[in-house]
Amino acid sequence: MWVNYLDQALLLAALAVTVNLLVGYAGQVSVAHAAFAGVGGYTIAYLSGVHDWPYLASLAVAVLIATAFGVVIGLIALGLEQEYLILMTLAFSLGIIGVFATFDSLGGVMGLTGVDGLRLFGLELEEPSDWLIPSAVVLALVFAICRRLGESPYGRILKGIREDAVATRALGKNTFGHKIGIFAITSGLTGLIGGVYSGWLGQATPSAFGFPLAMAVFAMVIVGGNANLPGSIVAGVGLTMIEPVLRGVLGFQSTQAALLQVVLYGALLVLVMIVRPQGLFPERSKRVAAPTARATVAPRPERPDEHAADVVLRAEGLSKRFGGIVAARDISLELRRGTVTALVGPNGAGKTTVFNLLTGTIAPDAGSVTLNGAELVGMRPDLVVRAGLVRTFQDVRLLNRLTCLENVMLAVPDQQGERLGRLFVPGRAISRADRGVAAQALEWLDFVGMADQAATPSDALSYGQSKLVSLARALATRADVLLLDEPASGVDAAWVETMLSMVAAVRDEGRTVCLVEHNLDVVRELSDHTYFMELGEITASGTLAELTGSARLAEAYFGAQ
Amino acid sequence: MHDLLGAELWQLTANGLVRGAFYAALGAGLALVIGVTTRFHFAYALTYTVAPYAAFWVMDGLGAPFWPSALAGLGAAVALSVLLETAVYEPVARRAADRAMLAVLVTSIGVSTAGIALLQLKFGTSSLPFYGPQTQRHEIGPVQVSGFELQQAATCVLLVLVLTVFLARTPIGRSIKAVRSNPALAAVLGIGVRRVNLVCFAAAGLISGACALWYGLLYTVQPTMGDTTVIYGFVVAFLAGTRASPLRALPVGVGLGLLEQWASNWLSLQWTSTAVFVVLTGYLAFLAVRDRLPRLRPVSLKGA
Repeated sequence: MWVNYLDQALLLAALAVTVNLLVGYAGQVSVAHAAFAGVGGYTIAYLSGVHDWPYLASLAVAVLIATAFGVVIGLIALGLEQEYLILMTLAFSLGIIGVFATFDSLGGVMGLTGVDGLRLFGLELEEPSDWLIPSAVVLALVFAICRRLGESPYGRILKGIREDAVATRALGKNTFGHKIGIFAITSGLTGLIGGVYSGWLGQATPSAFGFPLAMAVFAMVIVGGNANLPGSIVAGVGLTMIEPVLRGVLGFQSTQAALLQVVLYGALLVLVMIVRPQGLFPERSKRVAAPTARATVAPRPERPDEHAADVVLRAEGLSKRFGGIVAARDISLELRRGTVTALVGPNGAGKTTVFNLLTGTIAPDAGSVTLNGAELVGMRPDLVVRAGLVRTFQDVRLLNRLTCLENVMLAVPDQQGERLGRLFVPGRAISRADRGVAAQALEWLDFVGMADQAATPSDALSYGQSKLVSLARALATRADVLLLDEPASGVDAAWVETMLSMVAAVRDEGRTVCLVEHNLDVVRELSDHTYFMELGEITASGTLAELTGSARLAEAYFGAQ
Repeated sequence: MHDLLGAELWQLTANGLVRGAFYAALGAGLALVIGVTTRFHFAYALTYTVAPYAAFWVMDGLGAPFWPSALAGLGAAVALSVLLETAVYEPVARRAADRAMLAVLVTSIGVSTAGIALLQLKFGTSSLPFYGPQTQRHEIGPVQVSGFELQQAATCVLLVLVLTVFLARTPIGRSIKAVRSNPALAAVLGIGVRRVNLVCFAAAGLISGACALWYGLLYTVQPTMGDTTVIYGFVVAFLAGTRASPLRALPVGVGLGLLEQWASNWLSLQWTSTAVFVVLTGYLAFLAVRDRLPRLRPVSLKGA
């Protein structure tokens, strides 16, 4: 009996590890893992049980079918709000179990039973002890794959998506593609585990893959700890062993023990959620060495004459309406290389909307944006960043549970370890490259004076500090043009000074800056050229002195100045 | 033959309307909870299942007549629903902070599954002999309906209408709508968000209980009866809009009910259980494509 439960424990632990990768790392809440396991289970029961296919071949088909289902569901639901993924996976669980239960060729309500005589690599799989090796191999394989994905630059993107998908996309990462990728991979792995699970059970039944299984796996993930894969294994094995203990030690009957186990899972889930929501083994973050090198920025002695510098970014005739509201009307502006341009105007004038339009976060109804002559309108926001136009957010949007260093590392472009193909090539190339990325990120943190906070989780920072880290993050994308949304608002006078010198340093590095700012001292100090916006339109431009000199604008916005 | 088919279609239509009203009420109750409290209340399945079980227990164990027992069942569903919010969801959501949606969903599935396992431990895993008063069959033209079916449909429509009037006309109803549109602002204005949440859970418990009692009289009472039902509830709630008027659940629920019944005329019965999934997939695919449409549109309208 105990060996049989150990087989089950290993397989359920493997399920918990995959679910943890999807839910704990990537933050995508799907309840369909039991259903995907069912797809795998039914595939092998049908192919190997009924049609006598070789087990290995039907396992491969199981993985393919489960992956295909994952891709289709992902394509439909992953671009929408998170509720819809939950809803879609709930309905899929119901629908697929309904299909299993109604088709005679799949055994109807009773399912496909009597799947036996399976062989893997010449190994007869008859007794529970025969299944120990396949189960352990599957767990090891799943753990290795999930760990590689989770604890790598790829996993850093997943965590970024979990914390704030919009901010992650604004650092040049294809968040939708990564979501589809991780959903498909975990679906495929779940299909594999389901195939082995059904082989071990000797049957595939609708009730084996229902909500109780989904819930048991959730309990393991939550108890073990979000984004902690070894924790999932410990909890998976530990929780599964409740049932044999109830039977063997406390003398419960088998059905009673199974039901009691479900009750205990539920109670444990509530208890852990209230007492220790991070789980028994909390997520760990990357350790970093102390800063080694200072970023060497050579300020250029002379600033180029404003009109002599060439235009890096040009927007022409950008317009956007939301229903009857005109958010932007015929916006045209130019940013010149190595200069600072300011966008000022009253609240609600549409300044942030202009940033959204320039970066592709909102598609304009009309108009064009060119960066070094290349059209940006119609490009995905992450590709706009890769092309060299990055923005920061008024509300900062750091990735809370990641450290400052990880926040900046995420922004570094073209990391080898972000590609699935490269991740599974043997060798140390990826980890060596990642050390390089960490060093780069540390340099940018050092540039903004935050290197000593590299290991601090970003939700522990003060507001001013978080603005500096978000600047470092934008710089790390190596984008030519930076759009800074209120870099100096909401911080006290000392911080304003710091931000001023930072932006000046960024400009002196040869980058092009456009900032939205209410603090006119900042604008006066920094900006070479200023656009004035009201009601979605640019109504004046020039130097700040020229703008504040206008009687009308002085009355409309600048007040007593 | 042609007449027979016609008669069949009328019968399916009648069944679809009865089913549709049932889905509509369930969806309206769940939409209220999701829209106002943002809890992904999977344990709606549990409050649904508990009502007929509690009624059965009172009837069978205490020997009470049917209608008082049914009332007790309804009370049990309401009490459990409120208890879930106070003892489980609220503390879990508070602890989980920005991950509240995941935390509440997972706990909700956990509590629901555990509660159903408890019912199975106490009452067994098979269906219960849940019988009410005698009912007669009515024949309206080619259509046969039972009294229970008519009463169920009437109850369901009435529940939706009462809920609509309750939200529109009573002070607490208006508070609920305020919380639904902006919880933070509502709290600032002095509306007790916790009290509003409790009222929503009580209403949802009541609706789920009433639906389940009728369902139990018409079909069977068994532990897993809530699984399918809650998913129909979710689908109707989202299709109708979780922040919209409960009235919108009526056409959506009826549409789903009709589709499911009509489908059984042309498709083999086996596929009707997937009808809801197909509808949902279609709807979400539409949403996904609609969101991306502006990007596909040619954008080089310079000077337009």
